Amino acid sequence: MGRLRALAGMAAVAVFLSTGAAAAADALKVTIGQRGNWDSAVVHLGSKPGIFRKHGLDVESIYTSGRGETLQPVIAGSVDLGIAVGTLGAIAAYSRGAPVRIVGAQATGAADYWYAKATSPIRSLKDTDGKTIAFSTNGSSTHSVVLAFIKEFGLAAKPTATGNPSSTLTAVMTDQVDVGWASPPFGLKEMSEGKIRLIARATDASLVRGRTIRVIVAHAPALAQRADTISRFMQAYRESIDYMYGDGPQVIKDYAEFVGVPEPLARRVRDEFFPKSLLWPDEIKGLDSLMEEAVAFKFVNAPLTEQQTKEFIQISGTPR
Amino acid sequence: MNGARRLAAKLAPPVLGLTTLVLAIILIQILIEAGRINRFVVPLPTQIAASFGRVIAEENVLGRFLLTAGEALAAGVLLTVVGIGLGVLLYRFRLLRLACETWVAALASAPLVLMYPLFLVIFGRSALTMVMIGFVAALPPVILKTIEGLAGTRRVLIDVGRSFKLTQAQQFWKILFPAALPSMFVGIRLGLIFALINVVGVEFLINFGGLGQLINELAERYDLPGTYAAICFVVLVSVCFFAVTGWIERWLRPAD
Repeated sequence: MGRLRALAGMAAVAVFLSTGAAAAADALKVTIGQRGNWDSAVVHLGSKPGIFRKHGLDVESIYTSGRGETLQPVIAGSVDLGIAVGTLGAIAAYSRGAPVRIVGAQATGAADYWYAKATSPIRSLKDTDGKTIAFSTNGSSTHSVVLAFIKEFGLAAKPTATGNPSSTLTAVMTDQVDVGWASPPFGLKEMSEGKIRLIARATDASLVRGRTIRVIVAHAPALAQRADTISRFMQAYRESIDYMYGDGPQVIKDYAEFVGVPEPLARRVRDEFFPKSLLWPDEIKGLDSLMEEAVAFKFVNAPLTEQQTKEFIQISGTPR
Repeated sequence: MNGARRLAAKLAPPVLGLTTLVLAIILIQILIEAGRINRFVVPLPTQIAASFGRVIAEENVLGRFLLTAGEALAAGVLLTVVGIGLGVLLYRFRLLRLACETWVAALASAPLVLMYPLFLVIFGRSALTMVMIGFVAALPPVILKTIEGLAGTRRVLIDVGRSFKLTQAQQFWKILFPAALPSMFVGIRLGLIFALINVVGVEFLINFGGLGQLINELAERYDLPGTYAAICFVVLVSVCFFAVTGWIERWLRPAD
């Protein structure tokens, strides 16, 4: 009986300690677009070994289908942070007075790739003259890449909006579009099965390599009131990226399980498509060309002034 | 005096409707300005009104409006012909009706818009995909309301037809069809709403075509007033359809 009481007492202490620890952690709500992409899995993969918890954070992740769905809750103040928000969309929102600030880069360069059906005569971008080449939506990062391909390689291809990778693959396989786009791991299985053929990577365009296409944004009042918490989040975010590119095999296992792909494919996604520099959040690159594009695609009427840019971009945490 | 009263009675509903709409808009404007509604989620009605000129001038709204309206109209014509035809068929053959009516009702609640990849494969990346999704998704209410209208024809009218020894065709065109018309038009109106929702929804999803694509693009640019202005044009398509169906119904049933 005495032992039983001691055991119950220990359990009570354990429960007390654990709830105390939970109460001590600062809660953060985060919307994350592009679920399943390696670059948008930082919070998930970093949470597994407890990196965010170690920084005193209790992060609640809400996945969206991307696009405006990630940004809108940040603007409304329903969540504190938005991860994988299109840079042009964030610029547009800020220029219209929305309470949103960039606290880090999320993707500099792009892992997206372009492919053709295996039976197609198209083997490289040079074969795309007079053919249709897909991008997601007008003004999206994939649209910028396709325009950069056309400009840099002097192509006479016809850009065609086809929506997400899934509907694009359907369009390619049914010969409605000649060249499709996808973001890994999507399509890699079809590629390894010999159904589609890689034609180009986004980074083949020099313009794309040095440009931050997606960012991490914060709700401005949240950033003002909880600067320390958001700073800790960004530190944990950096630490998670370090962990993702470390030697440990667990992160690949976790990612494979998260996305539902075999481990070799998960490893291929990281090693072939996502260099660490793509995920590093310390700098927003290619702002001038981004501003030009924002004006060209009617996201803003005029580029942001220097003062506006300073207010808009507030890299959080300690950049390395 | 009676003429003035009649005019007043005729004008009262539209005036009341318009006044209610204006008051609702004013209320929304006040709530947003007072900070009760987040202005970064719902723009001020005055901002929306101000954006109409820009959206019309810069976004080819007329062309997009005609495309979306055309797709919805094509779906509407198809569903009227096929829906009423199937409704009559199910009414005429009781066994068929008993066998299929539940399935048709079940189809009404199915989110067929999610099957857009299949439609893309079958009909290609064209307006035909939008028309066919709109048509299929909107078919059940037309069929069901046609059956309801025909089945609800008063017995006495059918008996009068029989006493005059009307043929089957005469019985249908002189008795059943006119009696079922109000119910059929309810079905057609519901069907048109379903068709328009699905047409705009798929345009939005696959980034193709008319107003749905425009709404997608404006939302991506975080142009909220423009987005809401574009949505107003979708409402305008709906208003046009309601006006036209109302006119056709009155033309078919002049006695009412």
